[in-house]
Amino acid sequence: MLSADVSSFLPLPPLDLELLMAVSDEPLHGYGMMKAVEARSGGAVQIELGSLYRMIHRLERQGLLYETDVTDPDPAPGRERRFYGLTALGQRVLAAELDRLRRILEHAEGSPMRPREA
Amino acid sequence: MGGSAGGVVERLVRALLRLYPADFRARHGREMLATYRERRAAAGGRLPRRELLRLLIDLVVNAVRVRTDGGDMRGSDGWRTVLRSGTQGLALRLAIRRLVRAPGYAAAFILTLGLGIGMNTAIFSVVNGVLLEPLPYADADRLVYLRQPGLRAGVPDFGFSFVEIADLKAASRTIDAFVEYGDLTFNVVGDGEPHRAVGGIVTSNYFDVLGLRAAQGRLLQADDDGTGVEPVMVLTHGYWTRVFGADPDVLGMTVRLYVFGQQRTARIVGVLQPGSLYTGTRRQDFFVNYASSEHYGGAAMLDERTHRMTDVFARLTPGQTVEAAEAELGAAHARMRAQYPEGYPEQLGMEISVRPWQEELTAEARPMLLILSGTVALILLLACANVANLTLARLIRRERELSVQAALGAGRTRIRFELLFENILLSLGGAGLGVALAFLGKDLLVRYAGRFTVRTGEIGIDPTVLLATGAAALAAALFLAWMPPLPGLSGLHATAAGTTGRRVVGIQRKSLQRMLVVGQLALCFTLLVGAALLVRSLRNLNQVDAGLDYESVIAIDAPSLTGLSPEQNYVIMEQILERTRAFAGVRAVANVSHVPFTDSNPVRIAFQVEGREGEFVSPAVTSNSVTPDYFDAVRIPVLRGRTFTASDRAETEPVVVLNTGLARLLFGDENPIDRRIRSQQFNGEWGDWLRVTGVVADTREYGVTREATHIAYRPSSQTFTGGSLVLRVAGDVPSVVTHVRSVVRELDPERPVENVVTLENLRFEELAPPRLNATLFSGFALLALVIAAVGVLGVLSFSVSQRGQEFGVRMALGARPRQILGMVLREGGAMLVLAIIAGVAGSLVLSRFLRGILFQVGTTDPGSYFAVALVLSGTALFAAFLPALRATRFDPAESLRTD
Repeated sequence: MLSADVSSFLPLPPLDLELLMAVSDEPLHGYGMMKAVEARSGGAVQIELGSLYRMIHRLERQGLLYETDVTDPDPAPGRERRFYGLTALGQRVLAAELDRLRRILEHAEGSPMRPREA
Repeated sequence: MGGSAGGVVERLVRALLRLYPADFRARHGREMLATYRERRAAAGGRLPRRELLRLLIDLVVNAVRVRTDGGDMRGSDGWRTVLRSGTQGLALRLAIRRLVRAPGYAAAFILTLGLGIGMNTAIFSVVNGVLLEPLPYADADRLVYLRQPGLRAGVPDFGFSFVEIADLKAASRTIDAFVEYGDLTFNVVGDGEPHRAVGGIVTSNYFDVLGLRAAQGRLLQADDDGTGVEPVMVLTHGYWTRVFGADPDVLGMTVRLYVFGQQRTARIVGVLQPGSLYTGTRRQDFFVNYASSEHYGGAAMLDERTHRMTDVFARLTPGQTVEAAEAELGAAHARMRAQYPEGYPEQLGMEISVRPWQEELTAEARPMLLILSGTVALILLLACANVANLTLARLIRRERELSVQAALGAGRTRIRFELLFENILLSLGGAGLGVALAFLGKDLLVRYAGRFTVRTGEIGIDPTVLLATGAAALAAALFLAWMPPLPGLSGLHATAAGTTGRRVVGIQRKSLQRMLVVGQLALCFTLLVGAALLVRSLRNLNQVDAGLDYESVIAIDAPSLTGLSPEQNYVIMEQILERTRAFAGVRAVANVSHVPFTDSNPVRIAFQVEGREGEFVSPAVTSNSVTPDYFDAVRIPVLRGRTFTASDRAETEPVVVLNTGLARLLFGDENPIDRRIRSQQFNGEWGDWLRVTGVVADTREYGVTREATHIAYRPSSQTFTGGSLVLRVAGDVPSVVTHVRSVVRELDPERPVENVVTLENLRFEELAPPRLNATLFSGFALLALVIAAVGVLGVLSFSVSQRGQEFGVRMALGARPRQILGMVLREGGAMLVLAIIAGVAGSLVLSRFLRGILFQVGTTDPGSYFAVALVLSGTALFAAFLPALRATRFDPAESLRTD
């Protein structure tokens, strides 16, 4: 049942994948996610403010993200931030997606289309 | 940090956050703002402009996407699902089916939007091609044009002498290249007919500065400059094609060129690439080096400061501005005036001016094009208002259907998308129609623009214009799908459960509709006022009494360009006149230096009257050298004394005939006959004393739009100028022309015979620009009237259909049809009154832009306003009458039964 649930999320849209990966190590707030995604991709992927929160909103409602009780270690007054982490479902979906991608890669490596070293 | 800029941006971000649904904002709003602040802080207090732009666009786009998310958990976005789900084909088919079932609505929508877009596309193409597109030259934005006006004498430009150009060159740092350009008319004698052509006398750097290239042969080179070299000539592509049939063998061919009565034989060395050239106020045929004109190598040209024959273009040094160049050259010019006062007589008031060439070239066309742009923009506005109204009305009409759909589970998003599909279809239809109309109308507009500027070569419906059109259509579609409040969705169940299908229309929506109609009528009023003023102005122009009888009079140019002395030329001219006069169809024939109704700039000339040398007046005067029969040929009445006779010869006393205006100015109420006057030449010296032999009636020979000018007529027998014939003919014009041609060919084979035209035609042509303006504007206004009438009709029909029940009840209670009729008409009347008030206010403001092109009509002309109010009222009430009539036809019994 649950595995069927997980597969219904696959394949993940690329930006969803980036965002889930960003919060897979530790809970982050919005700006933290922005930075993490940008850093992880070496600046190639940037998520803008509006897109970010629309995605957070949706991923939260889909049950992949949740609002953690982590708090800002050094909150500015009146600036307590919300930190988001992966739900159990989120972790499984991410793992399944990464597994799916890995298999695709392995398949590609064995094929004549495999990128060769120049 | 942050400062006011940060504050402004943050406020903008906050404002954009309001676009998100309330629940979304409540959950994420503060976080989003905090994230934005952190990002800004990380960027050092201020986001780079590119990132900022991306942020703002992203905020807007995602607001729409969040709103259209439709509660769909799986798909990322509602509209994506709509498009992905494979139902878009169905949605499209359904939209088409719905529109086919409402052909009136679809047609009105497409037609209105199409007309609006079409006119805007066409006009914008012209504006773009004439005013906005850079000239087709390298560094076009650095190209400026120098003038040397005589402000006090009312002379727009004297041009420059070589000596002056050399002085300016030496003094200027703001300009890196001067291009001397002589705009001359040559008589070209080669294989074919002798003809006149427009040639530019240039130095070799001309081609360099403008970045022109040769298609055949070569351009002028540095060793073609100066005197004592071979005269060479480069043809424009157009002239090469027209006159030489694009013959590649022209290279090396020679033609004889006559200018200033001197002849040179020039060798054709090259042909320019096709393309438009804008360096004179005329279209060029070819370019030649200085050696092609004997005059250009002469002492006068080289040494005399006042020998001003040359137009000057200049290229600004990179980084310099027009203002800096004008300041620098102005100072240099002031030094020249101080050093050589004799070259710059006080009474001429000479100055120097520097203007961007593109501006100079299009100065005449600019005001009219801007007026037109404004006008068509108003019409587009009007069209949009109408389309919005149509959509609104249709939406309300479909209220019940939509309510049912909503009750069956269609979300707002779905309904909006249905509307969007419909609107995209209709708007695309409108845009398609618009582009088609624009293509049809473009050629007309090019010819129209050609009346005001030579720069028409780059007018085209280009991709930018098409893109703008597409964007306009799409914007209209989006706006119209999202603007109208969806009816009845809040009270869905009540409506769907109800049986009547008639609901009280929300007051808000109703007043929105009315406002739109009032706006349309007011815009329409303003456009009609513009049209009325222009038509009145045209009528005034048509009624101007030219003061001469131009029916059955033709003019022919036959100038001597082949180096005859003025005296020799006059002898030949007399023979031409004599042998023409003898021809059967000719009533009278005269030689003139200036054909009536052709362009002429009066020049301020100082006059003295003998015996009163102390005083002198300097009116703007045109002079015309004529032979005795001229006054007869065009029937200018002689009021006093005599006109010229055969006894006025070169060796007899110089004589002059004045028109009434000039006679009155110089002599007041005294009798001018036999008195003597003289005028000041440009070099400041006084000319010969001229005895006044006669006074003739005032005429508007030099343009009906001008106040009657002061004219001094001199006999050709004393001035030896004049290269045109004016003939009063009876009967067959072509045979007369053929006769003149053969006479000229026989007496002087290399003399061109051209520009054969009737004076009636010249006068008609002179009024072409105002006539075109009036026609164009009237067309626009008429269109606006139709659109507005449709608007009134639509809104009232709709209002009547909504209130059918009310009317029925009223009639059941004893209201008479006349009272019902009155009710509806009053509804229309109220909108009309508001519209007229707004329209008058708008017209008073906007008609001021027309001031420059009106003739003897004030912009607040009460007659025009009144007439327009009448026309608009008549049309609007007629449009209101049809629905009013329908209102009286509701069956009381029927309407009582349904409830």
